[in-house]
Amino acid sequence: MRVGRRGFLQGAGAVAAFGVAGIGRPAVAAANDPLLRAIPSTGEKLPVVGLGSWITFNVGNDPVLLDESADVVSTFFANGGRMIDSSPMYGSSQNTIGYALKKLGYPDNSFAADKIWTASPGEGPEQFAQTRSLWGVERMDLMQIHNLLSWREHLDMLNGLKAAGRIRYVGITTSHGRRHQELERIMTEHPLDFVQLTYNVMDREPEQRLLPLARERGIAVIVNRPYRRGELISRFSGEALPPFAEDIGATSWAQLLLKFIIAHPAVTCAIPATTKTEHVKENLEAAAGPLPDAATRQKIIDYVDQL
Amino acid sequence: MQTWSGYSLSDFLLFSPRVYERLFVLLNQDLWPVQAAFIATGLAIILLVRRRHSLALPLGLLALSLAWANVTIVFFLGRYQAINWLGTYLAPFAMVQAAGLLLLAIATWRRGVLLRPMPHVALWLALIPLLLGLLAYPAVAVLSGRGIEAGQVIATAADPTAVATLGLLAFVPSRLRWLGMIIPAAWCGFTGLTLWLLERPDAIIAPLAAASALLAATLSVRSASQANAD
Repeated sequence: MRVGRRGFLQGAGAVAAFGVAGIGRPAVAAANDPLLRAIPSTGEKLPVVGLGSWITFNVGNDPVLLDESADVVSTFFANGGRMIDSSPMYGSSQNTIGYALKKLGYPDNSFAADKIWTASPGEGPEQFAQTRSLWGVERMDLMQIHNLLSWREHLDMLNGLKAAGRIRYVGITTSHGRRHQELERIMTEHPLDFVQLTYNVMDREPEQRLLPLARERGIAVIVNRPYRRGELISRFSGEALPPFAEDIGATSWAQLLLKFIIAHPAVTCAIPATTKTEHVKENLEAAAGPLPDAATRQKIIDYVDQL
Repeated sequence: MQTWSGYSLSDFLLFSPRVYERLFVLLNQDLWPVQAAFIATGLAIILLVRRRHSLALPLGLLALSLAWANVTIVFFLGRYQAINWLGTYLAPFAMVQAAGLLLLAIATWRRGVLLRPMPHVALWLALIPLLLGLLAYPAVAVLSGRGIEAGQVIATAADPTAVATLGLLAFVPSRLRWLGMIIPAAWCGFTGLTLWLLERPDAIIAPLAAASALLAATLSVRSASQANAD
């Protein structure tokens, strides 16, 4: 993966967008470019919307679905996206991403994020090698420990890979609100570049301790399940958008829900997964427009709660 | 235990309904027209069972042994493991089932074992899974709008093969029937959960068929016990 500055920004001749210092500060970016936010440990900036691959890219060896997935990845990069996240747990998703990257000629603006998912510490290096092979890349940008699985042993291994220059960032993940206390302890006691957790308008527990701690400790935050695997969009799709949605440029529930997440200053990148190119565009457009301030975020919560 | 206790059932549903549906479309495209031969063989076995032919049991068990071997190769290893890493672990169980059925087929043939006589109700409770395994799965695919090309066919897909196996094993007059039912019954439960998570209306078929076969076997055993007591 490319390590230096992002080619897509250079090509556009755009002024790099500023990281958001506080809630609700509007993005300053070239038209249609998604908002960027800095990874605290290095200052490198990432678009605040990435691409997840849970279920959506697990298409096996189906040639039609592989090409459809490649179209999603192509649209993602074409609209300013960078981070793609996967895991060995996600079936054939890593292979699908590798297929797409190869088809697209390995775009130099991609940010490759994956995970170690094995209970056996001895299998970690082999799994890392297989992940690189499936992605078809020499170096991964970010490797995370999936769901805290054997995290002590894997953390040592990943820190070793980082020191050797074979990965650039180390992280640890959880989802569905699980094991937050243990994650908090790890964040406090160990140096980490990234954490990944579930945060959305209905799952707001991370606001209490994890997100403030991430800011305090200088840890980037990746948000998974922004739509609870589509459940939130399905639940609210029959309801009218709140009147203030227009003020923040949200034209759909997906955009409103995503803007709520990425407006939190501790959030570095949300990673919705999708099989549709129009949804990729919609997600990245949410990151290109204004974001809700603290008062508007509260209004979103209140509005959703009364539905 | 901490390693796995944080997971829920839905965490192990790794694929979408569309991916699972297209798996069978591609499988059927690859194998056509051999599915017709598999269904014809199955119907012939059912005919032998209805007529209580002396070779019905060994031939049926042999056919199902070959069916499980084929399912291991074309379904579990050929397609399923690509979308679910559990497939790698499930394939050996399917192969064990194939080997077990082969041994049972040989034993019943050498010893001239005949189909267990069954009361009328038990007979139909056992025939229902056999018929479901052969005919219902393609029919459900058509009726649900997925099209015949997405239908699961015995000896190429695990669900109809497991269901039909349970139906035939209900006729085996030996305690080994219960041993032979473990893997197909477990699969029926697993696939029922999978399809339920995928919100498919046919999720109920395999568990119901398994229950029907198990009930048939239980009723026939009781009937035999009562007959011996009398």
